[in-house]
Amino acid sequence: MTLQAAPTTTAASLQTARPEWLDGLWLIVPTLLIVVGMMVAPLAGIVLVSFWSQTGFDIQRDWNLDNYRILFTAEGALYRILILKSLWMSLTATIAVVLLAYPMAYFMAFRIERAKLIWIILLTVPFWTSYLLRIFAWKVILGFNGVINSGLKFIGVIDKPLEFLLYNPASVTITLAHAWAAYAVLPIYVSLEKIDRSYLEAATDLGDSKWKRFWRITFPLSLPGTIAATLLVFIPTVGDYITPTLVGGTSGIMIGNSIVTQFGKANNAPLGAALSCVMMLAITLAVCAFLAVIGRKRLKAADI
Amino acid sequence: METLRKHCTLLSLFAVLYLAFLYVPVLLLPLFSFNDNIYVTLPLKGFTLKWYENLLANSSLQAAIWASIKVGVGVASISTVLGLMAARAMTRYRLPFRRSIYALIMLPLVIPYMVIGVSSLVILRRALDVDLSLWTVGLSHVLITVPLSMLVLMARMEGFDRSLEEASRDLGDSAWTSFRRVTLPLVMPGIVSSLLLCFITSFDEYLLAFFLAGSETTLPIFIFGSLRFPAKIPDVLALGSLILMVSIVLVVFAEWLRRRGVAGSDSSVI
Amino acid sequence: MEAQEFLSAMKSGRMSRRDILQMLTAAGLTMTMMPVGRAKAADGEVIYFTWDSYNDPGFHPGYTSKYNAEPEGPAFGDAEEALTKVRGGFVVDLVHPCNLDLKRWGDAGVIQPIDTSRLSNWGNLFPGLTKLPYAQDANGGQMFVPVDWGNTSILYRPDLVDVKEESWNMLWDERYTGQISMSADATEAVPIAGIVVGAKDPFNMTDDELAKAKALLVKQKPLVRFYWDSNAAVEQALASGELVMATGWNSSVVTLNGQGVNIKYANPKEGIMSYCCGLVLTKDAPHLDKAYDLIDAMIAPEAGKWLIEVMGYGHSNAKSFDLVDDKTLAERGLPRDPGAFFSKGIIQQPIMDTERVQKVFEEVKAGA
Repeated sequence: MTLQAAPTTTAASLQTARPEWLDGLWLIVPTLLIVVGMMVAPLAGIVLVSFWSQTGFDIQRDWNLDNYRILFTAEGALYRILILKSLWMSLTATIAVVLLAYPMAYFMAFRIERAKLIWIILLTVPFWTSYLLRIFAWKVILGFNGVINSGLKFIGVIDKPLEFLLYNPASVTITLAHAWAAYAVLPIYVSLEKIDRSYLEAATDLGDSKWKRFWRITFPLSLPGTIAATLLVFIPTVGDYITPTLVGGTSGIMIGNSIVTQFGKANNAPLGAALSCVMMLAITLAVCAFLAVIGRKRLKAADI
Repeated sequence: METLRKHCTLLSLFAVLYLAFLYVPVLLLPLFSFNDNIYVTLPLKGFTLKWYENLLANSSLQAAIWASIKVGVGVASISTVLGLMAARAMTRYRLPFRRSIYALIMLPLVIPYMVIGVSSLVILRRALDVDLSLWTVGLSHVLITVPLSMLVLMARMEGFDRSLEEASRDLGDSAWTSFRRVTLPLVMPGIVSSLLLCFITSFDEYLLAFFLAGSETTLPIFIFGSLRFPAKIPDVLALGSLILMVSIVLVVFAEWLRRRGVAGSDSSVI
Repeated sequence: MEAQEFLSAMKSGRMSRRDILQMLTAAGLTMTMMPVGRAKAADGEVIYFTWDSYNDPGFHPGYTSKYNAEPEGPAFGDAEEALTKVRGGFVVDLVHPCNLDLKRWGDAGVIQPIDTSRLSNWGNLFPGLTKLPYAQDANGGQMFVPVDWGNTSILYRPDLVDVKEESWNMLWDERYTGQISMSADATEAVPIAGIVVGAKDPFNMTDDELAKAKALLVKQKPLVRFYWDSNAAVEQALASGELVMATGWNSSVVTLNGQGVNIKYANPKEGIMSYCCGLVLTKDAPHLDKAYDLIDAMIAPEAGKWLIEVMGYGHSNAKSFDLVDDKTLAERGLPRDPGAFFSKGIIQQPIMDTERVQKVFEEVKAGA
């Protein structure tokens, strides 16, 4: 069995002189037009500006590398810390989100027999309320005199509220795991759900144990969804600064805060642009590394 | 057999806990929306309906919620159609530069919204002289939700058994007919997921909406604006609770209809 | 249910490709198209860019009664974002920034002088507010009309804090570790530290003073529960008892007391800080006449009475204070004679070197 969709030449494509991928091109052109049309300017702009400098509100088009050089000096220690911190926060949150989401998606795909649509909707209903309201709710649960503290006090486990529940990296991870749940469960679910049950039956017939069957068949086949979930959570959370600000306490500052400040009050759009470029590069490298590792694993899995 | 049942219950237990994790925080909101205190804190003070009365009188909040729903529904539909086409192109055809195209479409997820927002604003106003409106907000939301839709749908369509479609085509169906009759039903869970994810993304997006909105305000802009006036927050809380309660009632009602309508008949796909 | 029908229709092939596309796109298109294009006529209402709740008829009764209409109010959540949006080409008539931001609005070149002779209430405004730094441009043109003002000081719970002497030093009291909150805004937090280190001008410190202020903020960090970025967050935490003291504005006193929370507003011996917000007129304002009417309505005494009584802010018109009784003023921490008050307190100043101050506070927060 091949795990990657092996490109096969179809009879249809042999019959026509026109290459088959032209059909595919037409399908993707509208999306490409929108993305290129709307992204080229911001992207080109940000790259250009990152090589310029700013005094007050005026941008000088003096080509220089100072905004990048600063990242390697003592002066730029702040930004190095923030970038690493943001990557780390995003990484831990993504791992937490995906690990929690996978069993839920598995449950929906294999244990729910009917009304799957209802389950899909049920998963997203909590997110039809505003994010800020959900943050308030988390503060009520984790906070001082909150649900957990009041509960523990009521049953007599503690006599003073626990203060370590809120305003630390753990509360950021919990809040993010909640906020991104639907983005992780749904892609994993849709890829698990399409698995042909006959594969699983065949494996069982061959005497595979439940775990072996999972690792040999189910997990590799669900990889596209798991990869999608990982990317959907990882990429946006690197730049997220609202959650850490609201529930992260005094250390809740991230690279996103700094970028926004540079474009605004700090009057240094070029530095903001350079920081954005570095952040984008860091994300891209992380994603490529992740995909490369997965790709190798996938090949290995196919060898078994 | 014994281990299988044990496995089953463990997984079900996890699912119940996970749903509780998702729902407990948001179910607190209706509780506080009836609490006679403008602050969302314990202990509860007393029952009141005044936040709901305020909500009825708060026309700018009502306008904001309708604006957000309009944009959200529009964005979800357009992005899902685009995402479906793109995902099909990526999984079904051997496109040249496939990786580059993939990376390009994912790009909007990587660029900080601040950058997208400000530069789109400058281009729309300074270069094209387009007036800001919910349309411009929607356009920017399509940009950030298309990659999401494409990823979800690719996860669904990747590794599809193409022999089914080929069989359909061998039977003389056109490419479109075979897509519609074979692929589309199989992709349906992905489409529903994509619609929902795109909707909640657009519905909750603040930064792009702020920079690209005209006089009409969306819900997140309204909420960020009211953080300066804590006395207005319970109105938002009442609205959030109302949305939540209405959607839960709708889901339960739909489930009830389904049970009545399809009792016993095939309902395996969704 | 609809989706169910949709599915079964699709399975049985009753639905054509066109139907599906129509269902997906038409739903979206029609909804987005509905009444989006609100008539955009040159004779429309004045466009007033402000925090959402500031566009309440109570702020400008005179305008509402004259035109029997409300200003059009695109909202912002943060004045800096508003400046970015206006610079980007967003067309509005009036914006509502605070005096701390005036230098930035002036430097950005997006505002024009206001002809004060067109304002009937201009003569009654406190001179201490109309002559704030950067309220006038280099040629003496009035760029800013003050409307609402308030104080920045320490909100504290007298039931939970033992205070011998009210001073900015309270925020460094180690007995309340983890129960203190400071503004997340560098332009507010850094000058407070500057006051405590005794900087000559806390708004424009020397390198040496700034380094001392930074050290003080680093020392304070372990005491701080969180840096607040909205008064909603700070009021909530004070109400629950999570915080015992925090920097804050006097509108919070009104709201917290209204909820039965025991809150005192400190009058620090070093001086209380005050801020003032008001209106600036944009360069390309399309509705100039109506803009002047709105400004005049917002600085009218009856608007001021409402502002003081309902919102708990001070007003720029001296006559407004004659309409309010002593008890109301005292509850809101507002003086009977604001003129004398302004000469005593520290009015927050726009910071010259924002970049430096921002970076210092970011370094404190990031622990660099």
